[in-house]
Amino acid sequence: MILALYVIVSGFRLGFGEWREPGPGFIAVGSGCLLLFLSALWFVMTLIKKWGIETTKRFFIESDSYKRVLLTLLSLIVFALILNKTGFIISSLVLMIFLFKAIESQRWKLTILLAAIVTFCCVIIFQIWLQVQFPEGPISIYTIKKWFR
Amino acid sequence: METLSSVVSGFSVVLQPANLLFCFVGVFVGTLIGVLPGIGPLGAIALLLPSTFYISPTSALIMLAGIYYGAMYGGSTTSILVNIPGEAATVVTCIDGYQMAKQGRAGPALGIAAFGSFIAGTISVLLLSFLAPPLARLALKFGPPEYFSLMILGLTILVYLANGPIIKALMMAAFGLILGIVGTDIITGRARFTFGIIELNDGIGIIPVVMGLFGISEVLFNVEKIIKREVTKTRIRGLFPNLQDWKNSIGPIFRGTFLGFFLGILPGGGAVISSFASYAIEKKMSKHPEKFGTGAIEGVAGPESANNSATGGSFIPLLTLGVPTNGVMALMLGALVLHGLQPGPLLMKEQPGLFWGTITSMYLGNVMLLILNLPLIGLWVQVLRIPYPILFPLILLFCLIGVFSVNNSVAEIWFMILFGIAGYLMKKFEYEMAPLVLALILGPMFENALRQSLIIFEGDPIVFLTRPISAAFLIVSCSLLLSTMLPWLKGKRKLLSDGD
Repeated sequence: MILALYVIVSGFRLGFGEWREPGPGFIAVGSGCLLLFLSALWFVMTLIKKWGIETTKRFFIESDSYKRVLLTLLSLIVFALILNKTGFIISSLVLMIFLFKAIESQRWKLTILLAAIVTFCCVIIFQIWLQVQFPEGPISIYTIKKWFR
Repeated sequence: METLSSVVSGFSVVLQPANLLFCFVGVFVGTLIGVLPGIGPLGAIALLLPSTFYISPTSALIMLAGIYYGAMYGGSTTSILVNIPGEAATVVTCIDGYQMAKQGRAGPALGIAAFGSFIAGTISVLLLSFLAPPLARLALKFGPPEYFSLMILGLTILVYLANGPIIKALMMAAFGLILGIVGTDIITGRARFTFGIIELNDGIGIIPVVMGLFGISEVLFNVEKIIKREVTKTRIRGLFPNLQDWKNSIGPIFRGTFLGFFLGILPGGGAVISSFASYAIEKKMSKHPEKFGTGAIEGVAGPESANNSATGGSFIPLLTLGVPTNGVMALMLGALVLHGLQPGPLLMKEQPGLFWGTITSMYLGNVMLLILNLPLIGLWVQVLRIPYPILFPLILLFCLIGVFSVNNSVAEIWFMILFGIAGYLMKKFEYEMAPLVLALILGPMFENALRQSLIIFEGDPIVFLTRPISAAFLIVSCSLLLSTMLPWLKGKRKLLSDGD
């Protein structure tokens, strides 16, 4: 409802226009009003439905489920934060090692081997074959090429 | 006769070695990602979209289409063998397919899924070939009011077919329309809801939204409790269904084919809805409905045919009207636009090679899939044996690469993460994501059509009812909504009285 109100107010600020010449906020006001009406209706219906009923449904399936969800999210956030600075190879290695270890812990040897293979394959397929322009960072295919020269 | 000669010219396009290769790559990648749970055709197309810059638009569309219908084939394998759908469109195949596998009949289940998909895919291509030209001619009569009403119909169908309360589905559609507004207004040039973020000037991309809502949220949901997947251990043999299996399946295959095709044409319809609709119809029509859920082959044949046929049908609105009916079609539209082509009624005249080449490639692609799927079942089973704790980091990395590669922008990754969290919460609170996605896809076109109509007809909203095609779409939409409102109101009254 808060979002809908914000959209309606912003829509009017952008300019509702008139029926002959709708402005840039025309659809924002319309869809905002629809969302406001529906969410208010749903809110009231839920209140009536749940009045006096205790809900026992748990949000997470297991007691430590939230940890796994948060760790997975954290890994994605860290990847987004470091990608431009460290480049694709390091970011991908960090992400893979973290996920292989943090969620269902694999052996270190297997973790590092898998992370290296996945990153290598991604570089070959996406960067070399499909020409995706990944951020370079300190280690990239170009620096690796230089090492071999 | 004209259509036949066009089909022949289409074959001459698709039989060129490069196009054949891209068709094969498409169906192979499609089957693979269909087998892997968590990454759908949309994710795969997003990953491969940037690579299409370097190939001709015809080859690009042939490959992307191959991924789409290939995924439908592959998705059935996981549903039957692991009871985990590789694709949303194959969820319903789990019900009887997995039961058949448990009874040692995985072979016939996989076989009928492949043959049914082949028959349906082929018929849908034939229907597409014959229906696309007249529809393209009809589409030339479409003005902004007709497009507006068509999009209203699409959204209504999706809301109508949504699971759970209709209010929630409508809320999601309204939210999707709001997301569709984000970006620069094409009439006045004013930035709307961009918050100073440059990447939002072109609007919220469909790829981060869909990969977040479907890919990331799926992984977040699955990591809550890592389930060990039991791949059926019995040897898969006898892939060819026996005579009785064919007798039981042939009706569902044809019904599923026609149902899927026509649901695929409708915006908001598509593979997922048609597979569920086919299952429901087969169960209703069966002399032994009690057998459904215990390993009835009809429960595999019908939905598998319907979802493949729907992929063919969903090309019609895109190629003839320029209207994408789902996320995959929105990406196809994006691929065409990237190559400077505008899908719509004139595409068939201006780019006959691309139009007919794509359509006939689906026919060849279906043959390739039949050849690919049956002998390679063993390979797909091996792919399925990869444990989820090893698989999900790969899925996440592919999503990250796919989203990044479209615009080479980290901002897109942030949007994907945000929509991943939103999708996870929506799953938890049982909100449907499909109306949101379709509203986001159709939102900008919906807005343009509405504003153009009002400007052209001087603010007269009656124009939507005085033009026959537009009026027909609106009448169907209203009828659909009213038909849901009545039982809905009844149910709510009952609920309130129960509460009293």
